[in-house]
Amino acid sequence: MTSESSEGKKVTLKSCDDVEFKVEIPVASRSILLKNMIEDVGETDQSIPLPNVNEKVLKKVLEWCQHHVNDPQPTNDDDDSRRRNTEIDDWDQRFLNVEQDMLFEIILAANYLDIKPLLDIGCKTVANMIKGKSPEEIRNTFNIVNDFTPEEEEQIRKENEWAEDR
Amino acid sequence: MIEERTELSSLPTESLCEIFHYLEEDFRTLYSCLQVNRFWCKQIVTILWQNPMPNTYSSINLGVFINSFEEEIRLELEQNHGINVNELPKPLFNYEKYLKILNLRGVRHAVFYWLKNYRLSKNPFFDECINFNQNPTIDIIEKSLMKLILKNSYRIDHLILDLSRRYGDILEVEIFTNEEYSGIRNITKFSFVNNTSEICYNNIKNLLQVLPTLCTKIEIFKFYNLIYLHDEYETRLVNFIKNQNQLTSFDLSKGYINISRMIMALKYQATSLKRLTFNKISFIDFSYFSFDHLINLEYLEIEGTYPIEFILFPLSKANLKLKSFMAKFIEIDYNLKESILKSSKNTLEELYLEIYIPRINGKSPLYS
Repeated sequence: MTSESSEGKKVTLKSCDDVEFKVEIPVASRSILLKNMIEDVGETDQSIPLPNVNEKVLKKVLEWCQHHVNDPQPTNDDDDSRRRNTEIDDWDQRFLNVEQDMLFEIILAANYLDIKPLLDIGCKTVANMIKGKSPEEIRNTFNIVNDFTPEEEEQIRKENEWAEDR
Repeated sequence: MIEERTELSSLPTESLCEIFHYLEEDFRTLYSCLQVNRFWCKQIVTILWQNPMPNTYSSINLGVFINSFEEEIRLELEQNHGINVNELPKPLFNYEKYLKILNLRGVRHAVFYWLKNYRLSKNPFFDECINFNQNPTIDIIEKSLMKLILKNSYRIDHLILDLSRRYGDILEVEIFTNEEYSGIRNITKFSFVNNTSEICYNNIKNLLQVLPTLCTKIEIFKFYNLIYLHDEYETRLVNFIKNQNQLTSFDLSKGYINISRMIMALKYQATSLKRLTFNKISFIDFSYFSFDHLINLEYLEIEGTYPIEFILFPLSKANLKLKSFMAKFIEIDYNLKESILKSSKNTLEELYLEIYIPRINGKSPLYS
């Protein structure tokens, strides 16, 4: 099975479930991992295997890369300002309006493929889901088990309760 | 077969921490996250305790530190200062390890408020006045706490020194220079704020004296609210600036003093300096300043600075490669166009101008 994207110089990416995607090089190069690979290997007919990403997720990630193909490459200069800002643009918000497991798969893929802006908006989306929730609400939202003993829970609260009023 | 779902716990720790960093100014949410489970708790304390003692009201539970004080100090607090050290439980973490910002006045503030609350918790009718600047219990806790921080907080990155006239001197310099402590040796940011007092304190002077050799990795200097700068402080600050060779950013906000010597000290960082900010500065004597040597300057931000020709004239003579030029709330000046062209002809990516023209005389300096 092969999924084609638009014209231009292309590279073939192969998902872990053996689905091939022919992708324009500028689109694939949104991933720093792929950009470096393509630069190292040069033009090749061989497909690049991506053992950590399945078809469904790769398709979604490539959709994001296609939409953001002309964005400037991120710099490391503005780490602090990125962190202060939890706003996400409308298209990205709609793009990440997916089931939780898909959202986490996208974050994992963005991390593996080294697509910093996609990783950022994925993390921001999760941060926004956490914002304002109580510990119990967070546990319920993300299916997390509380492994504190009641004594530990009480102590951790006492030692850090100053944070609640700051 | 049930398909395994990817959950938040499937993310690597670094991604989870990245998520938490988006919440680092939302303490209430961080406090919730802290209580979710043990793993989250371990990650969150490292964020929550980066700056637990800012120079404002802070009500942190100092019991978590007092427990780690030397035995002799604990005994002294117990016997002579009415503090029941034994009722303070051993903390779950060595919280001081996570400090990144050390505000010297903030530490004393934290002790002051903790002591007030402690006395009130023992006696709801406690109405004794606790003097912020003169109190032996505050002194002993502050000194021991500072020792503990300087000994164990190997992540301290930013030192803030506030010289507002409401404060007295700081602790003796020996505590900062102790060779067994990593202390403030690795700071990359230094903020000097509120220099409003004409008194020159010995310990502050001594600290400024050792800073040029103790801290040589400064990347960012920030000076705020310099109303008065004692000669003794100025000379030492100039040496501190001169002695850096990784300085990338210099920020001067709200200054009404003669700052030419400090600015001139920047010529020793000509190759590393990338960002220069002047915010609400009144230049008194700026006649010797030149931008010529700042060959790698990329960002220049000027706001409400007077007289503006003291910056624009030397700028119009320098050949810089600015990427960003921001001028807000400045008076119009005939050097403006020339200074923009000269400082950023082929490199400018961002230009922001917000100028006011007191009187229109038929021709704007931006024409032609």
